[in-house]
Amino acid sequence: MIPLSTSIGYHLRQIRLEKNLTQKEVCKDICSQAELSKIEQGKVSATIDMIQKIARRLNVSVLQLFEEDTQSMIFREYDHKFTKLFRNEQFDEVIVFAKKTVDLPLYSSIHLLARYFELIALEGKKSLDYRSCISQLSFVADNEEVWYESPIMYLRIKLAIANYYYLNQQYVHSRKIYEELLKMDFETEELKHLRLKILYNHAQQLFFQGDYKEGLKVTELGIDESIIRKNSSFSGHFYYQRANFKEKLDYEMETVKEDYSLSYSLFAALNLERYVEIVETGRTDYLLFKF
Amino acid sequence: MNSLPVSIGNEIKRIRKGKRMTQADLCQGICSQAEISKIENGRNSPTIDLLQQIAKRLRVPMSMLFRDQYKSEQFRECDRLLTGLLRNHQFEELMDQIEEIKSQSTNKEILLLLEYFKIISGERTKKVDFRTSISQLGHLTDTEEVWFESPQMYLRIKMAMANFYFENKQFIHSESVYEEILNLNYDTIELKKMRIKIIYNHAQQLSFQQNYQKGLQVVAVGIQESLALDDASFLGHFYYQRGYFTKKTNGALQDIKRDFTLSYSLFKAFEMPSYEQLVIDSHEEFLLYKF
Repeated sequence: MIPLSTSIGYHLRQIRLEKNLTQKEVCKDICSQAELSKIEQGKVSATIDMIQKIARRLNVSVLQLFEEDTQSMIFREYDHKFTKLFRNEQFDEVIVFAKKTVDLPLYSSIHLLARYFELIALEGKKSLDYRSCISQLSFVADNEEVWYESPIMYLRIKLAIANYYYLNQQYVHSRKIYEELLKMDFETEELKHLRLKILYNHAQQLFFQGDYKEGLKVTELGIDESIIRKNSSFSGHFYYQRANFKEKLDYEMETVKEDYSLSYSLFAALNLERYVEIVETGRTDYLLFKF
Repeated sequence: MNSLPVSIGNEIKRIRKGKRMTQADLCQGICSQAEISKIENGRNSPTIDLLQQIAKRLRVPMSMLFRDQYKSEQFRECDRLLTGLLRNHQFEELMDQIEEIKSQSTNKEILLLLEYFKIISGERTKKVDFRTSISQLGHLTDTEEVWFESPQMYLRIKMAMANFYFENKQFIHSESVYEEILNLNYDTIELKKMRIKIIYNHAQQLSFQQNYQKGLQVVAVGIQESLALDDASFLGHFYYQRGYFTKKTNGALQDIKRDFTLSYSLFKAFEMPSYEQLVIDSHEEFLLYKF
């Protein structure tokens, strides 16, 4: 693992260069130019006090520098780039980009991200079968540093593992992972956000396992937590799921229709056109209206 | 004065105690107990690497050390109390409470909150003219420090200024306050969410000014940013505003219906019954369905 002082130094340097500032301009009345240079190169570990002063001069918040996970812009940029390549099934490009990323002194969470994408890209191009991919992903996640260095990456890797089990109909295994994950402490906003995805996937897996009663409970937990957090990311999905479960459990037609209509509206409000279409074509008879 | 080491120290202590660890448990192999003690008391500014080791030992993500739970709870408590009194027009009680809290607190953010309430209360009781109140508020945000130390308070003060201008029909001035604050650098999720609220208030004001064209532009940004953050807090409001602006600018009936229906569904899905009722009472004829 790269010491955090190295990644922060590197990051400060990037910001300074982006703003077209010289070391001299940044360190004035804070520290010597030699010292700033050492901080940027990660040769010394600066005090929080000093970092705060430098951050202020650069007009960025200190918190931003320490929020290694998805809150930080730099993580998001990398994530975005990897995700895009991966979605387009440009697996070789993902692997090349991952190798390049690991060579830079970036935050550990970004290195984990690169490692994660490299593995799933190898699986994507079938150079790695899903079982080996699972065991390698587990190896990365179970390194004891990962959970506190980047809880978000830990959860993402675990979710990917559960997903491989799920896609290969190993429901018992995926269920076990979801249940374990849901028992963990979700302390920060970002983690609570990811918890919604876990709830959604878990309910989905219960649906395929035919455990509708338990699934309904999980979905309703997802709805409650979305409401409390005012988080829209899975709201359409949860109402759709609830309608699915209610249908299977022979609930009154009216409440099933309401849930489908609500999910239809939510997908439209969230600009998720693909899902709007899915509801419109797949559940047309249940919709109380159409746009 | 620098409060970051103090708040980090508080947070380390809080988490350590929560995990039932002694200072000796925490510092073993990392640093001396005397040093940990100084760090917890905010008398020493730790280096990044030391902080990273502490976080690791506490098994929490590093970013958690930057949130001062104790301080923010105290702040929230004061805020709740004073907001309640202001809302109920208990101005005398409000002033008494302000003095009381002032005599006990040294926290900069809370002291700023007190000043803010004092000025608002002065204007509300008409003891102070709105122009003077605005300049007093402006004075509070004059120092560059405020934006860095408490961006939330900074924005709140600015919004109060915009609001005073607005109430007194000084639309050009309130408009320029909105433009000024929307140009700031919102670099954390918390601030980005606050920005959404500002956008909503801005659109509300444009609605009163009957500047529907500009309102449409502002709302489009609000929707876009809400979606990017998965934030449902104002999404229903934005669709409502867009429906209203579209109606006022003689837009297509189909679009108006769609927007009011989306806002109704969002209020329903996120359990905001008073707003749900508001859509029904004011624009029922545009709704494509109703529960």
